[in-house]
Amino acid sequence: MVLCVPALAEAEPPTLRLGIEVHGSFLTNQVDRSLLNVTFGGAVRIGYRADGATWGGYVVFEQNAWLATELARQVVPGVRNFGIGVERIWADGIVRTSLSVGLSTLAFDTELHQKNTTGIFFDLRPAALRWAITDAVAFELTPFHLAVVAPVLDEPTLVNVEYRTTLGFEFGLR
Amino acid sequence: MTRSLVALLLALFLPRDVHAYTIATGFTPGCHERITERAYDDFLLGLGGEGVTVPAGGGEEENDDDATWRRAGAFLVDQVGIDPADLSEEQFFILTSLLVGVRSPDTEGHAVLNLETSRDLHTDPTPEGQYAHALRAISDDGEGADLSAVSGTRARIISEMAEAVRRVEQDEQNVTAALYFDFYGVVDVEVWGPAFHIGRAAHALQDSFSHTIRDEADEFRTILTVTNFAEAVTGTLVEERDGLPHSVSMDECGEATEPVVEAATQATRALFVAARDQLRGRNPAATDDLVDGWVRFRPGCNVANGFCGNERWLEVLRREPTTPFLCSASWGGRPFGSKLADVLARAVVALAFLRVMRRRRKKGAT
Repeated sequence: MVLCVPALAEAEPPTLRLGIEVHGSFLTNQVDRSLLNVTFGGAVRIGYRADGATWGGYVVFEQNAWLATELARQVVPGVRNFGIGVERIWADGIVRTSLSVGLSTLAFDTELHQKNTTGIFFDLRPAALRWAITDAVAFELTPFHLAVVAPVLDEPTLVNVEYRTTLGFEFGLR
Repeated sequence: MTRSLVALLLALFLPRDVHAYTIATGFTPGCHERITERAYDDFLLGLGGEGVTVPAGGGEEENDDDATWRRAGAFLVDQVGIDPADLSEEQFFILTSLLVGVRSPDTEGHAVLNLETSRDLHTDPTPEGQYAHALRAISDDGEGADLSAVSGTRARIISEMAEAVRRVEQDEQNVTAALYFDFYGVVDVEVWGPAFHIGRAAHALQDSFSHTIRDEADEFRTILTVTNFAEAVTGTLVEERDGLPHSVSMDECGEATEPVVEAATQATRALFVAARDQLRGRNPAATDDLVDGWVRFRPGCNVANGFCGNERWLEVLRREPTTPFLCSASWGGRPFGSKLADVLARAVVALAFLRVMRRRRKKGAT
């Protein structure tokens, strides 16, 4: 019976984890675009990953606001993105790599399309750096990651390539 | 903080000297559009829209390709303070085309903040590239340079107007033009070709007021000298040889330049009337008359004689002459190899600048 205890402990269900983060991007190198591509926003991520496990999965919701600079200077609500993702923790828990894919929905009327037009988005984070603050809380910094936000896929398409920097916290809820 | 950041961004990324009367952007007022809007009435009313085919589609249909011009037009027309509901379908299409045309020489449809295209466009080494903005070409040196630049500008206006007439005569009226939209990039918009080319002619005519010193004594009808952008911005300008540098202060549509802007508006109105007469076949020489009246040159006025009593305009011009902007022409050679490297290098410079400013502020506080 005593010998069975460690085995039972290892069989515990994965931990529910909540991630809260803010992001910003500043420049783009998209052909024919303005050099300035200021976007910012926040996201909530919730998913499962067992303690000490390397793989996990999650759903994510984010708001990504944009700064217009060409025809007018104003902040617009941009898009709301909803998706699913997979993640891998490695390097003794210091690095998290993730990929999210999902739907991207316009949150405002552009000059050419109406609010709620929906397309796709994906977000690739090769290396989010993690610092454990307590057993249940980790701080995350992703210095540079790529997000492609494409709420309008019909011509004229609206595809925004964003080189983001993201800061956030991850909470183990159980 | 926001203001400082915007100023920093402008300092780092914008060509410091916006080329010509400004077009409407997030950072500059729509000076070209304002002049065009003030002058367009006679043109629209006179044309009446007969023979103009408004592209099909564009009702309530979402994402209808044919509606792109209509949505773009609603934005542009609204931006100059006109309610599209006050215009007929044809007038709305013509005015949209005119506004797309008057913007186009400054961007050719690209983003103002796309440094690569802006730099190539504004330092275009061909004479025609500079005459499109009523500026001296790089080859316009010494005696006769002003006359050469004025002649080039006249030729530019005449050729755009001729293209407008040709499109009507040969029934090649609707064409697509590139227009930049935030977040979308370059979008093709259907326009009425004649109005588009008239808009481009209007741009050159309007620039011939902001890029020159004109004679106030004859209500700014006569050009006394033409400024130089291409060599001023690349730091190679020698004033005795290349002429006066282009001036940011003359580009402004503000109080200091109000009399010149008013004259530019009158000239634009005259151009629209000439266009109307030519398109209707009333006066085939209307454009020649226009340039004879508004784009003429008088030799003999220079810095030494205060441009024949126009010291005031020399003083305005000298307030903010064009100089090389950060990371200017040499970056065109792509020493960093890739555009991404270019972007990152600029970001590093921006961060370093912010750090220095923060340190200075701290020092100032202690």
